[in-house]
Order: sequence, then C-alpha cells, then structure tokens
Amino acid sequence: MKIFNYIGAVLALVLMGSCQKYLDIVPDNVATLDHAFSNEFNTERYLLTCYSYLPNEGGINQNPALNAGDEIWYPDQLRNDNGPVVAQGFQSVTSPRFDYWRGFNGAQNLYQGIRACNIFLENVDGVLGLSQNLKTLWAAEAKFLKAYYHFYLLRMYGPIVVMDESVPVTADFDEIRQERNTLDEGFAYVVRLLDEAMETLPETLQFANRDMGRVTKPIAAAVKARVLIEYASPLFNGNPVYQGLVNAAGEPLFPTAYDPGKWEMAAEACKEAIEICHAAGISLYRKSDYTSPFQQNDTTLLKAALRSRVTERWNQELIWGHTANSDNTQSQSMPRLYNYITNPVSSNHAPPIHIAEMYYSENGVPIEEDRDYPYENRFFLKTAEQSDRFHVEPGQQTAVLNFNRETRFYADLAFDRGVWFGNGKELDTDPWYIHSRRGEFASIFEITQYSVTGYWPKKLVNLKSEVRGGNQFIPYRYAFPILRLADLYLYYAEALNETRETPDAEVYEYVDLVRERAGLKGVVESWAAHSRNPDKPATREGMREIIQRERLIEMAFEGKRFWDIRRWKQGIAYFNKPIRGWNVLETAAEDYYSVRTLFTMSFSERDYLWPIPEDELVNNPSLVQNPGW
Amino acid sequence: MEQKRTRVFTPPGGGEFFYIPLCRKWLFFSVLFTLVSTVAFAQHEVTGTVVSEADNQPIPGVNVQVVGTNLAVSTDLEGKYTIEVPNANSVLEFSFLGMQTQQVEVQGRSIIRVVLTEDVGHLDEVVVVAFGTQKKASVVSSITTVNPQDLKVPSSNLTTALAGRVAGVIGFQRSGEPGIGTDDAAFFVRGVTSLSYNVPLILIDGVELTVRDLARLQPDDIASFSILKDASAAALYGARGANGVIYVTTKEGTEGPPNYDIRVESYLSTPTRKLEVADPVTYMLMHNEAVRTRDPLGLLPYSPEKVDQTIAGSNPFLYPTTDWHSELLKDYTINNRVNFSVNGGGKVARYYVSIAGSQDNGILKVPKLNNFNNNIDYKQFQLRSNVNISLTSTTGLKMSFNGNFDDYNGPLYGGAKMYQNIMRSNPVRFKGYYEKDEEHQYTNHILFGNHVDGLFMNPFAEMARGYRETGISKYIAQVEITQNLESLTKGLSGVLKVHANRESGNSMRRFYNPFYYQAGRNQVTGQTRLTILNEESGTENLNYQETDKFVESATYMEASLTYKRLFAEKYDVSGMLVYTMNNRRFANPGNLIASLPFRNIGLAGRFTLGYLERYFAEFNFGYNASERFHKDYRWGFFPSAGVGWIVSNEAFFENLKPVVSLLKFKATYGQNGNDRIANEFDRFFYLSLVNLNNDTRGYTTGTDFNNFRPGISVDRYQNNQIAWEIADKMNLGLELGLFDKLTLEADYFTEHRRNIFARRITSSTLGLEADVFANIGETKGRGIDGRLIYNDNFANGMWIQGMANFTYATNKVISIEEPDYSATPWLSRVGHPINQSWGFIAERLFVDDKEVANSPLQTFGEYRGGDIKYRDINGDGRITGLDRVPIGNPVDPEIIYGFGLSMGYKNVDFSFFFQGLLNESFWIDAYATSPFVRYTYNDDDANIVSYTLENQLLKAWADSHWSETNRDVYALWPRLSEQAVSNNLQHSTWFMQDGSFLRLKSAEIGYSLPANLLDRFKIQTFRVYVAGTNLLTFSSFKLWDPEMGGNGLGYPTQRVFSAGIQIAL
Repeated sequence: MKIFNYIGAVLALVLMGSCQKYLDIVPDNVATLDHAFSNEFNTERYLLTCYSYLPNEGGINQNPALNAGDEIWYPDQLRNDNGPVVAQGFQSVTSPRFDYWRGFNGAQNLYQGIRACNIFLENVDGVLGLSQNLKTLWAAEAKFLKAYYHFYLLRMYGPIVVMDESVPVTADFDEIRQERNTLDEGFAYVVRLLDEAMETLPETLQFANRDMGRVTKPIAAAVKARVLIEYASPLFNGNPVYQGLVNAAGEPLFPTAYDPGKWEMAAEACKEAIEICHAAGISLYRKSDYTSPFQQNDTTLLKAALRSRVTERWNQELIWGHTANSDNTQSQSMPRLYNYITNPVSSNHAPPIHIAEMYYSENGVPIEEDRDYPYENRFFLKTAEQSDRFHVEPGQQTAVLNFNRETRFYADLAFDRGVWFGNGKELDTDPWYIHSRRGEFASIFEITQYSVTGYWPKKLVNLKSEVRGGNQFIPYRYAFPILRLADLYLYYAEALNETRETPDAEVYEYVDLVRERAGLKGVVESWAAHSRNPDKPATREGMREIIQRERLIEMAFEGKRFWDIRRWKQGIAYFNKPIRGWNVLETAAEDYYSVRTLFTMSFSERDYLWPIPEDELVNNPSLVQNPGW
Repeated sequence: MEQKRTRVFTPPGGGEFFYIPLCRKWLFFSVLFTLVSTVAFAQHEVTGTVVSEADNQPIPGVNVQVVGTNLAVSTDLEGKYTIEVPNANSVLEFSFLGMQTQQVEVQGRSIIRVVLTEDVGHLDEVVVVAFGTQKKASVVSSITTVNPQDLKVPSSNLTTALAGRVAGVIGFQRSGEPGIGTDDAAFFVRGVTSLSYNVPLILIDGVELTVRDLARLQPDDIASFSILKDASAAALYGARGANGVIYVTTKEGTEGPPNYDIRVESYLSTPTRKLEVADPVTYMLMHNEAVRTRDPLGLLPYSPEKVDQTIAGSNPFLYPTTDWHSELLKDYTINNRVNFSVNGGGKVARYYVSIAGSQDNGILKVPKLNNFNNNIDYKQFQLRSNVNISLTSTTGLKMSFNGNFDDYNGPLYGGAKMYQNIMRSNPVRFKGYYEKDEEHQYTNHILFGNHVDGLFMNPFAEMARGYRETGISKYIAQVEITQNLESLTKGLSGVLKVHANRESGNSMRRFYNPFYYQAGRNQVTGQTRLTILNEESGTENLNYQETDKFVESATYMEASLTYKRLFAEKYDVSGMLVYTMNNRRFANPGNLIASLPFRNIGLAGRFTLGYLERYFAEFNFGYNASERFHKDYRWGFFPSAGVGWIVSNEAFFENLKPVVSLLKFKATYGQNGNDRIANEFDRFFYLSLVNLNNDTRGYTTGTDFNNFRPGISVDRYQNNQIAWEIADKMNLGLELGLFDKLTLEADYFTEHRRNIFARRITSSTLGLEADVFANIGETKGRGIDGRLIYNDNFANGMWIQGMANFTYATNKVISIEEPDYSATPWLSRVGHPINQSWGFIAERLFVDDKEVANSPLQTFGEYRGGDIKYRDINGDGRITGLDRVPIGNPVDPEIIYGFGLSMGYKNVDFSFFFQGLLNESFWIDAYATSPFVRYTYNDDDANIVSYTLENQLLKAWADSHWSETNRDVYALWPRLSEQAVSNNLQHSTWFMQDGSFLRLKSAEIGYSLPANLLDRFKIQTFRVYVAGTNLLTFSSFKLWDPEMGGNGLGYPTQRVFSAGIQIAL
C-alpha cells in the first residue's frame, strides 16, 4: 500500500499548504466594535446610540403614562393594546406590557441602553484624535443617560439591578447571576451619576440648531429633582407594604422607615434645578409670549398660550423634550372638524368625564368645592349664550359641566359643541365647532376611530396641526415634554410643603406662579373667596391636596398623572373608579348627554410596581419578584 | 427594499478556484497527467466467445468492458466479441443481466473464452456510493436505493414523491400550491437530530446542488436515486454529511441505435378538501352574538333590518352575500407535462439527451375584464444532455449540460395569500365587484366593492388587481475525465471532474390600484347607486415594481484516484482518495457576510476489503474544512468503519439457499459533521457583527428635528471556538432474501449529535444586544427503517410486485443550556424530542363567570365563562408560563410508512400505493380563525395602506361554540368575541390535533399494446394509463387535509387525476 501513502502525502501537502488560503475569504476590515470608537464621527454616533434608548415620552403604546392609567380611554376594539391592557388590570408576568426590563411590548430595552452607556464610557477615553473637552462632555452625557435609564427602571420596578459596567460576553453567565440592589443603593447610584454629569454639562447647547435634544445641565438638575421627589414620596419612603421584600440573602430591598430628610433633599434639588433653569433662560410660557398675526381677544390669546406651553416647539418653558415623532399622538388626540373624505386622524385618545371634572371652575377652585358652581346640575343641558362664544358654539346645547370652567379646561379639552381654534382658522370670530353626536362628523367614523367619552385632549395638538382638504393630516411636530418648568415649580411646592409644619408664602409662591399663568388668582385668595373649605390652604394636608390637584390639572395628558398617583400611593383611591363618558353613540342631545360607564377599573397593592418578567426569574433565580406578582 | 431594486451585474467567469495559484498547479498536473497517460501505451486486441454455464450456449448482448475505461463492446448473436484493450495487463469485465458479472485479466492473451454463471441473488447489482459505485454485496453501509420508476408521480416537483416511498426519509407536503418552491415537501433523512439545520446534502451527479434542483429533476432522467443514511455512507462528505445525503445520478447513453422515449401526460387537479365557512346570515347573527355576549351594551354590528333584508335576499345590491371562495376559485385546473428523451451512440461516443416541459396552473379565476392572467401559470422547461466519449482506450470524457428554465406567472402575493384573504373577508359587507350600471357604463375599470367605514380588504380585488412574473434559469455544465492508470499499478484509475453552474432569476409585479365602490341608496330618489370611494388613489393603468433578483454561481472540482483489485481470487481490495473543492457565490446577498464566497475543501478516502464474497470490511474518512469557522477550528477529521457478513455465502449455508436466498448482516460506526449550523448565511462566528449604520438605533436632534443620525448596534458577538456539529452514528443492518421472491432490508440506527449550535441562557440585565451562542447542545436519535419487496411471476404471464416501506425516527434532547428548572421540571427540554411543543393543558371551557372567579387566576388578559380553562400544573393558584407542559407529539412526524402493490397480466397493469404518517401533532391557528376579529394590515411593498381585515367564521366554529344559551364546555370554539381573546389564543391542547393519517396516495391502471401490433409499427412500447393521487384519506381531523398540518388556511393539498401515454421507439 505504499502507493496510498505516497499519494496521500502529496495530496495532503497540496491541501494544507496551498489551499488554506482558499478558505481565508474574510477581508480584514469587517466592521467590529473597535470601529465604533475609531474616530470622532463614529464615537458620536455611538453616543447617539445611547440616546436612542430614551423611552419615547410622546409615544402611545410606548409610554405607559399616556394611556395605561385612568386619564385616557379607548374604543373596545383597541383594548388589547399595551396601555388599555394595563389600565384594565390585565398586566401579566408572562408577557408584561411596557416591558422595559427586556424591551418588549412597546418598551425599549433599558438594560441594553445601560450597556451601551457603559461601553461608551469604557471606550471614550481611548478614542484617538478626540479632544479632551469632547471626551469629558460626551462622557457626562452618557452618565446622565445611564442615570436616567436606571431611574426609569427604579420608578417602574422599585429596587433594580444596578449595572455600573458592561459584563464581558465571554463571562460564565451562571457565575454572574445578578441580584436586585436595594432601593437606597439604586437611588444613591442615580444621584451620584447625575451629580457627576452636572459638573460638566453645559448650561445651554452651543449648537442648538444642530444638537437640540441633547442633554444640558438644566435637564440633569431637573431630572435629579424628579428622582429625589420620587425617592421622598410615600410609595418609596416608609411604605410598610414592602417590608417583606428581601433579596436572596435575606436583606430588605426597601427602606421601611419614613425619612423626612428625603423631602429636604428633594426640596433642595428642586430649588437648585429651578435656579439653574432660570439662569439658562427657561421661564413659564405666558399669554404675552404667544404672538398672533391677528387681533385676538384675551381669552383666545390665553387659551392659545396655554396650548402652546406644551406643543410649541422648543418653547421657553421646556426643560427637556423628546425628539421622537409624536405625530401619531396628535392624530389620535384630534377630533374631526368637518366632513372628511377619508379619515386622516384616528381621533380616539379620549379623556373620561372625571378628567373633565378635575379642572377648576372659572373661580380657580375645584367644582365640587365651589360655592357658586352648580355642581349637582353638571350633567344637565345648557344652551350657550353669546358670552360663551370663545368656548362653546352659541345657541347650541352642551352639558353644564362644559360651562364656566377655568381657561385650562378649554385649552386642554375638546368636546361636543366646543370651540376648536387652529387648523387653519386663526380668527376667533370664525372658529371650528366640534359636532360629535351620532351621525355628525366628529362622531364614530370607524369602530376604532372615535372618542368613547366625548372629549379629546386638545392640549396635545398644536395650533398649526391641520387636516387639509379633508383627507390629509399635516401635524406640526413638537418635542414631547419630559420636563417643563411648571412641573418643576409644582415639585418644589410639594417638597417644601412636606418640609414645613404649616404652608408658608414660599409654598404658595410656586403654586401661584403656575395658577397665575393660567389666569387664576392665588391659592389663598381663591379658596377664601370661593371654596366651601376656605381654610384649606392653611394646613399641610389641605395644601398637599391642593398641590396635587394643581399638578394633575397642569400636567394632564403629559404622562405625569400615572406616576404621580403611584408615588403618592393613591392608586387604590384613584384607579378603582368607573370610567365614564357621554353616551356618544346617541343622536339627540338629551341622549348624548347621559353618563355611560365604560369600564370599572380595579387596582390593587401589587399594581404599584411592574412585574419582573417571569422568564427572567427563571433564567436568573437570584432575582426576586415584586410582591403580589 | 432598495437593495433588491439595484441592478445585478454578473461578473464574468465562475471558477473561483482557479485564482489560487497552487491549486491551479494541481489542476494543471492532473490534466497533463491524463494526456500523457493517454498516448503512452500500446494497444492490444482480444477476441472470444461468451457462453452460459447452464447450457453452454453462446450469449448475445453481453457487455464487455475494459475495467477503468469507457471502452466497451457487446457480444454478437454468436456470443462473439472483439475488443481493443490498452495493454496486456488490462482487465475485462463481462456483464449481462441475470448473470454474475465476471472480471478476467488479459495477461497477454488474445483469445479469451468466458463462461458466465447465472446470478441467483443478484449479488452483483451495483449501488451508488459516495464518489462512485460499489457492488451491492460488498456494501456494509446503509444506503437506500430507489427505483426511479417509483418516483414518477403526477407532479412536477420530485420532492413530493419521497414520503413513504423511500425508507429512511421522513417527508411531508404542507401546501399544494404550484410554483417555485411553494409545493416543496419537507424531507429529512432519518428525522431531525440537529437543533438548527436539518436539510440533507443533495448531490446530483456527484455535485452539491440545492433542494430546488432536486425538485425539478425529471424522474425519467434519473438513473439512480440513493439515500446515504449512516456514518459510513456519508463519512466522505465529512463536515457536511451529518444530515444524510441524497445522491442522484442521471442517465447516460448506451451503445446502439437511438432509443426514443416519449411520455405525454395531462392531469386534473382539485383540492382534496374545501375549508367550510358559515353562511352569511349565520355570520351576521353570530357576530351580533359575539358583541352582546361580551358587552350587553355593545353596539350591534348588524341591524335587525340588515339581517332581515339579507335573509329575504330582496336586494343583493344593498344587502350582499358573497361566497368569496367561489368568487375567487375554480373547482379544478388542468396541467400538462411532456417528456422526450433519446439515447444511443457508438464505440466512440454515446449520448443521452432529454427535453422536458410542464405547465402547472392554479385554481384562481381570471376576471374577463382584465387582459392579463392573474392565475398561477408555472411553466418549466428543461434540457439535459449527457455525452460520453472514449477519447482513447484508457481515457473517457463525459460532458453534461443541463438547462432549467422556470417561468412563473401568478397572483401578486402568491396563491396561499389568496386563500388567507378569503379567510379574512366579511361575507356581507360588499360584493367582489359590481356590474356596471347606467351611471358607470363608460367606466373603464372594474367596479370593486368596498365600504365607506374604512378601507377593507377585498379579496377579489386583491386577486384581480395584478400579477407577478418570475423567471429563473439555471445552467449546469460538467466535465468528467476518467483515466485508466493501469500503467502505474494494476487496478488504478483516476477521475477529474469540473462543474460550474449559474442560476439567475428576477421577479416583477404589475398591478393597478383598484377603484372601490360602495353600494347605497340615494336618499332623495330612493334609487340604489354606486358611489366611488377612492377616486384619487385608484388607477386604471398598471404600475410596475421590480422585486427579487438574484444570481448564484457555483463551481466544483473533484479529483480522485481509485484502486481496485482482486488478489488470489479471494481478497477483493479497493481504495479511493478524493479531493474536492467547492465554491458558491451570491450576487446580491444583502450583507457583507453573505456576500463572501461559500467554500469548502475536503480530502476523503475509502478502503474496502472483501474476502471470499463473505466477509467485508470498510474504512472511510472525510478530512475537510469549511470557510465558516475560525482558522484554528476549521479542519475536521471524520472517520467511520464497518463490517459485513454474508452468511448465505458460507459453505454451511448451501442447503438453506433454496429457502433463504440471501442473509447478510452489517454494522457500521462513525462520525459525520454538520457545518451548516444556524442558517445558511450565518457564518464567521469568530467575528462580531456590528452594524455601524443602524437606523433603528439612531437618534434625532436639532431644533427642526432634521439631524437624524443612525446608531451602532451589535448583531452578533464574537466566538472563535464555534465549529461544526458532530454526529456519532451507528447502524446495524440486515438483508434477507426468501425464496428469491421476498427481500427484506432493515436497519436499526442510533445517532448522538454533539456540539450543536445553541443559544446560551443569559439575563436581560446584562443588556446584551444579541443572543450568545455556543456549541453546547446535545441530542440523541434512534430508529428503524426498512423495506420489504415481493416479486413474483406466474406461469400464465401474470406478475406481481409488492412493496412496503417504514421509517421510524425519534430523538430527544440530551443536553442544552437551560435555566434551573428543578422547581418546574416539566419545563425542561431535556429528554423530550427536538420538535416537542410546550403549552397549557386546556381542561374545558369555563361554565360561567362564577367558576372563573373560583378558579386559579389565568394571567393572559380578560376571560369569562365560556373561555378556556387551563390546568394549574404547579399549584400556585395562577396560570402562568410556568404551567406549560410538553403537549402532543412533535410537529414533524416520527413515523412515515407506505405500501403498495403493482401487478400485470398480459397487456394490463395496475398499481396502488398507500402512504401514511404517525406521531405528529399540529395546531389550528386560533388567531387566524378567531371569527370577526379585525386587524389592519399595511404592506409598503404593495403601496397598500391600512387595509382592514375581518376574519371569517369557520362552519365548524359556528356549529359548535359556547353560548349563554348552550353552555357546552366541550364545544369546539369558546365564547364568541369580536376581539381576539388572548386567554384563548395561548398555545394549548385545546387547538391541538392529531396529524396522523393514512391515504391512498396513488392508483394507476395502464394498458400496453400487444407485441404483434408493436412490431408492425416498429415501436418498442406503447402504453396508455390513467392514475389518481390522494384519492382517499383516513384521518380523525376533518377541517382540512391533515397533511397540511398547521398550514390549513393556505393553498390546499391537491387531488390529481391524470392520463398519459408512454412511447418507446
């Protein structure tokens, strides 16, 4: 068999020697992660990748706070959407909605975002040719984002796994089963990162035209205020419910004792943030800030200004806005104004009646407390007078509830026979009137495209957003607010009130600033003059209620109520009520204005925190589930 | 999409391997070598007579061939032959059907008389093995050889013929839609054992080709069809053989005058079963019920007036009822096929040329108003030519050319989509189209129906609005040089094979945007009239869209040396070494990784030893490398060995021979690999895949939101050590012949597959962007396959042939990275089949809301009385993902069997064949059959914006569902709802079905003209036949054809009646 050996040897030689190259077909410069940090351009790209994980604040189905609470209701056909599922109490551990832990069901994968930030921070120093200035600045932005992502998870899940560095892929995953850090560790970590970021971040952006949406010092300061407010609030501050939650080692994850010092810290952070914002030129958007090419009546101007406080692109009140497109949210919030050929707006983002009831009377106090407001008759019909013409179509009937309300009511809400200013009509003598009874153009068009309550959140639609030609929606894009100055003022008032035995002028000051901008008198004056409970502002408890009400009104539809009610630990009180709307499928006014219960919500203790996905607990037995899930 | 539209430039030339300098040298040597050896040796003439041992009479027509060459002659009527042999040491081989083939060494003689003995057990039958052929007796590995005759089915897709006809193949066909790849049957050699890629290696004339190529092979062109099943048979393919090998050779010409074969066939094709939907009135009433049963205050979708008027049928214009099924579909369609081949030749050259054409039609209707065809019309045209040339007495040259041309015309989005559309359309909302009324008499387009309450999908419009055209052509050229190397050492020969192919295709769509009309009543005049809904978006002219275009090219080179010699009349020794290089490229693959060529190199060898035709031993190896892996982990050695013992050839067995004509035992053990882990295009695991330009990871900045920058994402993390899977396979075989009539071949096999590419368990908190994979999976498979063949001829001329096949292949996961399932052991995949499903155990429907309140909480969203009640496995009072258990059988069947009988008497022949499968489960798609559920559908590809689809109501659901008046907790469908109830859509036993069936797969009756008539017309054969396919089905499942499994809403399996003529001249 010599011949075989010989031939074999020759063949093997040919094979090994020459044809190894035949298989080396991969060119050297296939993209790897090193390329991401090879130059300034790619490094900045990676930084923007870190940004890309920012939860879309203005995205329905992405931000649970927009529609997973009691603020908005949808037609039945949409009840399998993320928000409605949570709102109806059908959140589940198998497939949680808004699963920010893993990035499913409308959510970004925030731990991926955190890893991106970590990788960025671990590599940015080594980028050749990148100036030290930019290195520090970009590192500060990445730190901020890392802090924000941790905070977002903390607010949803309570104690979370803090990820300070990227775990190598080659690690033995069995060995590194992470545990949840305690709530205190989580918050301390976030605050530390924010402090570090604030040292470097600029007061304003140098190239705003190009970079608007990037993080600045006011943003970091305001986020820090929000973080500490959350930390000081009853849900996380001395909540006895979570006493039993311990990690695998038996250590409690929640601080169980109430710590008033946390409110002090929060108040201080708010104050600092407000100062930084003021210094950066951020101020409330007032009536005088709205300029119209036409001669307008004062009421209209105030309404327009109030609408613009949220939807005017990068207005002076905005501290931080999300740059994602929220056109769809506008489309869902907009009623049909005339007979459209096709339907370009879905028109189904509907606030229930209790939200309409929440707004103050024209006297600036709750309608149920107002001595002069016909609260008992609010569901009756009333015909609009000429004097109501800036709010309601004269000569037409609508509910008493829709008369004699504060200007924010008319700026924020659209309703049957109400006025719609904008959409190409900028003369208050000739506005659009909404007609939404059955058969009218704002009523049901498609079974998923109508308001089930008879209200629309006008607040979210910019004055310039327009349906043109009856078939084309041209939204005016704006940065959906994550934080604006009024928000910060009310945080400050809330924190101060908690630190004082009885409310003082400083507490009133920041609430009154927000009220004044809305055309209302101060708290003390208004209550004294109109409320059945005139001394309410004098006590801490009374003032707490007033501040909370003010917050819910001022921040309505912006994705704040959902978290505020949770942190105040008032979910049980708020989220177990019936959702009511007008009987919108009726034709006659008498029938239309009868109250219809759409759903009765149920909310229990477990619903304050999100469930950790069941699969995660299976994959990582070191994690413990939140109580009740 | 952009990418697909770019024009394809095809680079010239295909033979990538020529670029490698040293490999070129090797090629050059081989060619030179061949040429030199051709001229170097003197010629020598041998004559003689061949006689039969039994009666000492001369035998005419005996094939005399010089071993290792293509030199061959036949004996004349006196049994005489004359042949030129290359040299005095040549070996002559004498073969004749029914006689034992004999080899005789020339040893300088010029007259050689040969006595042939009768072949009792057909021991010298030759089978195709890896890179060659081998005497069947000496084969110890497990190879199924199929008679190509058995693969003739009335279908232009060969893959549909495998199930039940080929022992060792698990096969099934889920769709009957004619078209490119749409009716391919799935098939696995000895079942599924990898967690990733399970498709067998497909070799046609020795070259790796695709499933597509196998599908379009003409059974008439096939010379041999084999399945290499065990390690020993596939070892030579090394890292590519683990999934088994399908090895097909095509026919070659034989010496003689031209032989013509003609076959013409027509067949009528009709669905085996029609999916039944409820009538329109029931649809409306139940939709009303669906709303009110969930929400007593809900808005009724159909007013009593509409229901009454529809029942009355007073105005079909305003109250339409549309049977979409008959609106869109015909009852049957007719297909045609023609085959023509001619073969023959002389001493120098022999040829086999064939031409085949087929036309398959779909069963869609074509509206008269369109002047294009939207129905499926799939034409295939094929040319094949195999030419063998004897260049010299020691050098043979074979040239093969093969061209395949597919032209497809069909619905815009395929036939299955049309069926799905029917299932997603409301029967009472509008008509498919309206006749032109007076107002629209001059309108130059079809008045398609729709409704103003949003744009609905009109399935008729979807079908009629356009068509798709696809053309694919594939050219294959192959050259093979055979060189006798007796001059170097006796019994040595060499082969060099070069192959190149190129396949290209393009596809385009032409369509208009339909004009939709709503039927309504003019409020003023009370007249009914049609109102146009989309005057602006409809078009009368055709739009045009280019879609998939592709070019694939491949080259292949193979050089082999074979040594074969009989020593001392006892020791039959052979050896072979093969070197192969494979290269494939895709012209517009979509990404860098896939754009790089696909290559592998291999050196393989086989050594066999036979002693006295009784004892056999074999050793094989494959040593090869694939471009897919890191340099350090690229080469693998895959050995295998086997032994065989033909007991019936032992001396002591002589007395038993009349009863047991053959008894053979064989055993093999060895290793194969599988380098196609993950998917075909997923390679180079040693590189991370980073997308530096990912739009979904981008972020917008700027005051006008105009500064969008894409981001960077990781699609894969690097892992140098990822390499092929390894399969350790064992095969124990038995061959038994009884009374020369009954043959049994049976194998028992086991397989242990290791290093399976599988996902690692990570935790989300790590924030990894891509899954992490490693070679960590381990599975085991085992089973038996076998076949039984019965042959008998009776004195009166009647013949009978029976056949039965059986394949059982099961497998289980041995090891895979899993979370800690110690608390919920039923979730672990270990110990369960690879394709096992996990789901909930559905106990029954809830009786009422009270029972819901008192039962464990089900965490999938809203549910009430009449919804599905699941079992709480872990007893924690809640139904969550932890309560999922293995349910049902695997989704691929474990047992495939078939049996049939052919018989003939005088001029009539008759055959039938039954086929069945067992141990398979499938699930009804609960979402797609949830009645009344609406969803919107966007298709940017087709410029379709937001269609609304509404699910149909299956008749089965209408007949049996839970309702408040009839609380049947075992009804087929739960409480109605117009929304998808996610509680009921969970993967559970509720919608699980037994996929087993047995069917009369085919039956055929034929008539051949008698010999005396044939002689008069100088025809060899003239046969006419009629046949049927899928004539009867036995199954417990009645909604649709059980073979479609979970694909029941797609294009149905077809029942075919065919008639044909076969002529041989």
